[in-house]
Amino acid sequence: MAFSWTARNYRKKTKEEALELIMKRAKDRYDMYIRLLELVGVATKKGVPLIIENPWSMQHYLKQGNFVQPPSVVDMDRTRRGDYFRKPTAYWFFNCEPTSGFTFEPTPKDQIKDILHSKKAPHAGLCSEERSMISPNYARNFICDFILGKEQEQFGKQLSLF
Amino acid sequence: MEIKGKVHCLYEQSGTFKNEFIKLCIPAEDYDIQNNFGQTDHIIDLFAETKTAYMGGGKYLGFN
Repeated sequence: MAFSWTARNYRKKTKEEALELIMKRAKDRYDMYIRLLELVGVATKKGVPLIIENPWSMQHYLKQGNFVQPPSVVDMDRTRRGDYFRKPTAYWFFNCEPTSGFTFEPTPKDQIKDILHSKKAPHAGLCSEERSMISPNYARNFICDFILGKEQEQFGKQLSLF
Repeated sequence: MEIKGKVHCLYEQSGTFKNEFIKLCIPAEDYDIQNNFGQTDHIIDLFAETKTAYMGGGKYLGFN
């Protein structure tokens, strides 16, 4: 959508102005995509374990098969592990494999945030800080479930749902 | 997965993951071009550093 004249970002622009912005967006995407591939390249050359995270909800470039491998893990609901947002998220593991675990630490419903109603970014094309937030609980649970394979005693034994 | 050495957390929310690794007794540092919360260990241009590291150099991502 962001590459279409009908995108909301361009509603007050002429077609020529929108086209310039679309071309800039395409170049920015290309530049960032190359940086991503270079990061994978560095890890591959050195044999260093690397884990990359990216949203997996709406259609986007990486979701259209434009990456070196499919995601290793996709968490469809981060609130089950204590995050603020449901926000489906994909994780790619390079030079390592995810462990499997499921720490069930559901976020109370009144604390779950909605991306559509989050604080906006300072300008178009930038993701707002609030939307990007990851809760410390989620980070800890992700590390224990998928990196360390560590059972957390305070949550008891959980069945893996993956 | 056994972690040998230090964990390096990059880009946005790297501080959140860094702090949790440290609480789990795993040494960790974070890298970002921003320092919004005053806790970033290494404030660097990760794009430039990645490009340099891929070409064989790099101070932080060279992993030498």
